[in-house]
Amino acid sequence: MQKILMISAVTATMLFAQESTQESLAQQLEDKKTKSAKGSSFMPDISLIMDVSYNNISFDEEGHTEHLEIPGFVHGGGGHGHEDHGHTSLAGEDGFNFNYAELVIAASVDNYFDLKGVFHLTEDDFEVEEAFATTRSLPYHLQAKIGKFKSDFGYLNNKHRHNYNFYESPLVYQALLGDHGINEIGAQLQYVVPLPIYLMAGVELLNGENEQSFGTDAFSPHDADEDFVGIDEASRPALWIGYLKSSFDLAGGTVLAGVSMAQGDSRIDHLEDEEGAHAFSGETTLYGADLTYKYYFASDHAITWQSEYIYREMDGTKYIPNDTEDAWANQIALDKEQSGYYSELIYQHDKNWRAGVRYSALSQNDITANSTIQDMPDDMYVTSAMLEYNPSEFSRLRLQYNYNSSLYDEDGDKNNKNEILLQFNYAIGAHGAHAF
Amino acid sequence: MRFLILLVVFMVTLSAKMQVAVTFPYIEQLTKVIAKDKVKVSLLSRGDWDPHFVVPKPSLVSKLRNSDLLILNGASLEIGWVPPLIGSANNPKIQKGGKGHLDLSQYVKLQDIPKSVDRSMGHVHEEGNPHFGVDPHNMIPLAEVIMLALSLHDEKNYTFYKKNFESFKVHWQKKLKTYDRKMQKCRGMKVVQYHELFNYFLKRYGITSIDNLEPIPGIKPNSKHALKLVNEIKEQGIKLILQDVYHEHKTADFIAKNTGAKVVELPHDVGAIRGTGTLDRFFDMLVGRVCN
Repeated sequence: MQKILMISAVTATMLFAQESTQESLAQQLEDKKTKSAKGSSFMPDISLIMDVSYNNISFDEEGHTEHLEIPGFVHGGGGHGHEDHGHTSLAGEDGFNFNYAELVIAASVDNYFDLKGVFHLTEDDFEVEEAFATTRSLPYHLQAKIGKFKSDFGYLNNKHRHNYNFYESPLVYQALLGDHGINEIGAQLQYVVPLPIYLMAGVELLNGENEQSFGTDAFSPHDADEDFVGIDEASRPALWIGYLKSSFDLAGGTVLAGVSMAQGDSRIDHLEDEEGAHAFSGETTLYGADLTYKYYFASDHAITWQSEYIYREMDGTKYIPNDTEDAWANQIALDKEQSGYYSELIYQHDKNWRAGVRYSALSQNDITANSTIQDMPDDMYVTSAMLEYNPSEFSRLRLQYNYNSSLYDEDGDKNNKNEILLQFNYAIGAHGAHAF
Repeated sequence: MRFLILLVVFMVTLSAKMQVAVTFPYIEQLTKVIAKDKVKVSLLSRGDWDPHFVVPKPSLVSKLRNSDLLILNGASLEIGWVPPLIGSANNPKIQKGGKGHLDLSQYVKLQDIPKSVDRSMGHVHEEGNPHFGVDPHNMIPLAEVIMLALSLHDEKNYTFYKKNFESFKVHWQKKLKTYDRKMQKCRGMKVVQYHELFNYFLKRYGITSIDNLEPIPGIKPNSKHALKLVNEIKEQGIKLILQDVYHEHKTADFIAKNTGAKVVELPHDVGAIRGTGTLDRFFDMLVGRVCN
């Protein structure tokens, strides 16, 4: 008994001593701070990015640009499809383009969360591009995100446009994921695996609205009878995404590789289209693989090779409305297996000069309608070359040339597009550094 | 049996070395001087790189993920690359405000604090000049801060760290005497430098930096500014152009050719130039090349 008491007393004294050493060390460290270091401001980081360009566009067949489409992927090329969306059409806009202004506000909420808002402003629209909270102190090397955010699917999807190496996202992204990529309301959980190399696993659960691949809204012809049985909405959240990303140093450079998967319901409503009105209901799965290799001669002198491949499987029913009767005029069992890729090579000469080339193609376009194989083209591609001059980290001038051989006109003939773009990009304010 | 298991667990915990990530080589050296082999130190950059523009490679994330302590220079020197790394390391310990986030700039009296900042002034740091690691007189105070931070995380080795700090202090005070004596004869000298990289060193030894090869911080030299420098150097009889390792050397060579001033390449950190692998050798070279 006495022994136990003694041991307890000794332990208690030791613990107490430890506590006081801890405190005294912390105090000593605190006392060494210089006065100027103690204050800090509560102002969040605010930045504004502005992007304008001068676009010179010409077509092989200038008379056939009204109904351009990427067959099997994107239609409604004359710009009549999505008036409410304010996006430029496949034909593009000649002359000066005000591409966007982006307002970013970010700060720590408290010890537990960071908050970031990214607001995308076009001439007439104010869009919440992203607004999300990220955890700062989850245990077990986990990090969670909630809100509206760009998914970490693939390599390019989570990047903002001012961080692109080219004026626009590559053809495969535009064809499969649309202008904004997978940008959704939902939640994300990521885990950094305890290994000597970087390995991160992440899952996301999202509502699932994407102009090209996913959707949940119910649809029926707009002038349908009350008793018309349309297509019910899918229960939300309807989109699951998972990915693994790894990075390691190899031969003096850095490799970044990832595999991603996305699976969700598809409700794609083009019933309001003036021509070829239709809608689609089904399921879509995307598989992505990306590989980046960066080699640095110096911190501002580097060469980067970056490639990404995306495969899409869409399975469902295509509905054609009928103008006279309140029933679907036609229902077609539709199955799409499509894929595309891009590969780009960027050479950074110094802080000011960068140049690059990119090739992006849609290489697989297998569509069966009611078990009949459709005759679809699979030779769509865009070749781009760019030269950048960055007067500072905050301003950029970019000259880009695109040869776009992905567009078909209403007669089913290719109508190649030549684009010369002069892009001006400026950033002011405090803008957090970009990830690799 | 239970006791045995507890013992094993205890031993494992004891033998698990504390892991420290540091942003620059001079911090690595100071940490190793204090910690010897008691901690595992991971360096996130290299001495011959531009300290502002280290590439935030994901391979660095794995080093931060497992670190108990991150020691950085601070004063926004790493703002372009450390925040994204911390953001993806999922390690609450090293987050800003966390117990394992040690910002050395908070323990240094910063110089060149601008009265107002605007981007038209170039890449200025509102906190002041962050390149305080080139002043040998900052090494003892910084070593003490690192000693305290290491002890705070690894209290059982406090006496060991303290002892190492004390012997470093004795050694470094001797070095400082030598440096101060050697630099005495260069007091009042005028120089130009590429970027405001050596201000703390120059001010310490009464050397005036008249102008920079960069017209404003972070912006490349232009011919107009170079010609202005040529005139300045001639008028004021400046003998030395201080060149760092990571900027282009052409401008300095051009100015030297047109003025007769001498270009000296200076290390800005440990390992910047061959033969500067330790703190002693780094400062030996810095002192020797500026004032000989």
